[in-house]
Amino acid sequence: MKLIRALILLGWLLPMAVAHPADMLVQAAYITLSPKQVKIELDLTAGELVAKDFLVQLDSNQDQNISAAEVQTLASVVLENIVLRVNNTPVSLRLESSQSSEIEQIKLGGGQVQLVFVGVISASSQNQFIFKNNFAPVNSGYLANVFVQSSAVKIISQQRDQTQQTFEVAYEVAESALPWVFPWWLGFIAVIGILLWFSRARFGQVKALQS
Amino acid sequence: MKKKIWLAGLALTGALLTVGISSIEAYSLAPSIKTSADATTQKVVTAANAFLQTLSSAQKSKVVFDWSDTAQKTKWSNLPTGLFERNGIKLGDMSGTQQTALFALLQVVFSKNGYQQITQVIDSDEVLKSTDGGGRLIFGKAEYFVSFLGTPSNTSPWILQFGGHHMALNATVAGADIVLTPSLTGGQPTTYTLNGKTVQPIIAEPNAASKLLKSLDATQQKQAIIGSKYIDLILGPGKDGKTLQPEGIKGSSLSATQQTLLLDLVETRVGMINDEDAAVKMKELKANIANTYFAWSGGVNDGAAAYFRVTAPTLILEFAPQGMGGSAANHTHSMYRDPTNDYGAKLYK
Repeated sequence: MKLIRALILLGWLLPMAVAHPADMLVQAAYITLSPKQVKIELDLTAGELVAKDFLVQLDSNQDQNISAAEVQTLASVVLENIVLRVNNTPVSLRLESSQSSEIEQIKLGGGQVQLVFVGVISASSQNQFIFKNNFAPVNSGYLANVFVQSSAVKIISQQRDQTQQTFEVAYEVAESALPWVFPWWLGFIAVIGILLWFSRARFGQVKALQS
Repeated sequence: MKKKIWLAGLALTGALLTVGISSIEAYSLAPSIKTSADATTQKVVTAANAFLQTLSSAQKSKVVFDWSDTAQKTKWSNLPTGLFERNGIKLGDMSGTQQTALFALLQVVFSKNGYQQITQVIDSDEVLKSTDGGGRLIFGKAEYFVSFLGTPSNTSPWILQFGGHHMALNATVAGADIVLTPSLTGGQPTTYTLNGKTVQPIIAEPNAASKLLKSLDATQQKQAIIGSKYIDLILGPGKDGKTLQPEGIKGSSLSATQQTLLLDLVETRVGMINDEDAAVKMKELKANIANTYFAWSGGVNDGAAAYFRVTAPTLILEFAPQGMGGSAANHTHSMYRDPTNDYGAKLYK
């Protein structure tokens, strides 16, 4: 009960939707990159003409109240429809937080559901991520933009398809921000060196025995 | 005698301690500004105090918020009453004298064009009230609110907030500087008739953007156009602290004439603030013109609805038509931000 009350309160405190195209669910993705993490804030704003259909999914028990559990259920459906790959490797995302405006605001086209997902990434100096949002419970309009949380990350290029459902970003991470990895070639040289030293030592022993 | 001296000493110590503690409190609570108030700021402070003096003590307590009230600072929206509840006092609850004093304040904070845009957007909401609304949504002039963060002062920072449907103006005053970031403007309808005259409150900006786009050659347009459909605002209400990555054509790839057109476009928004403070901002933007980007998303033909954006190290300007109100061009939202100086962040310590 406390959770539901908190959710309703959050609904009032949640910053209102930016705009209100009436006939679509605006899905705005704010993707923030840091060297080791990606955060995706997805703001879902249903226009008044599609709000009713969107609420069929959101207010799944149709009790005219949006519970925390219902928002989390929606988040899991959204998550199934999001694809994020960094350097061709799928990134496992988890829901970090979720909140919703109250149902009356959503019905009028002024409410918003905000979902925040995070994932750990293994970046190198040159990187590329591909974000796809296939969530489309009703007619949807998509926005996707990238932000950086650290000066170590530099965006090189951004490309979107016509609908902005697919968003590709090339970016660089400063070497100083990357985790230190023992270079394989250094290990190789070390092994060769040890083998050489060992064989020379043995050769010396044999020679000493012979003399 | 000894007792009197002892008591006087005690009183003096108490007084010194009180003054000392007050000074420490004042020092810790009031941020220090980096410049001294100039003539424009002094006029603004005088007009703000003149407005506050017209209010009853009950009204004053509703309109003035603590400088550190972050929730109030960020509580603004494009949405009408019914979808968004503003604090402060609204025009509908003010007497004629109070309204006159408030509009006198707006006239000194804003430029002639800026003030005209404000009054015309309010008028457009009156037009909307006569054609739409009802139910929970409340439109019209009466629903525009004023509030202050901090007390109007020449020596410490404060913010004037004025807003309603399609309008959220945040003017931070700090010493000689007055900045308007972040602010949202817009309107619906964007064309209407009042007293037999056609009024278009926000036409200058899309016209200036269209002129710049048309001046670009095919190669430059390819760089500037990032999409074929108009999109929504990206950094609207609730998106403080985010910085858009540059997209579109870079200022350094524009000719001198095109750079001038870009500055003309920017001035349509920056020029809302009074002439003196607009000149300071324009000088800064002119110096950064090579690192300023212009991006366009939408149709390129005359009258086609299009989103456009200008980003620079100290500027984010967005313009977004909305798919409501008949033609998308008849309902627009605009954002004006400075990623380094929203709410005057760099004007005080």
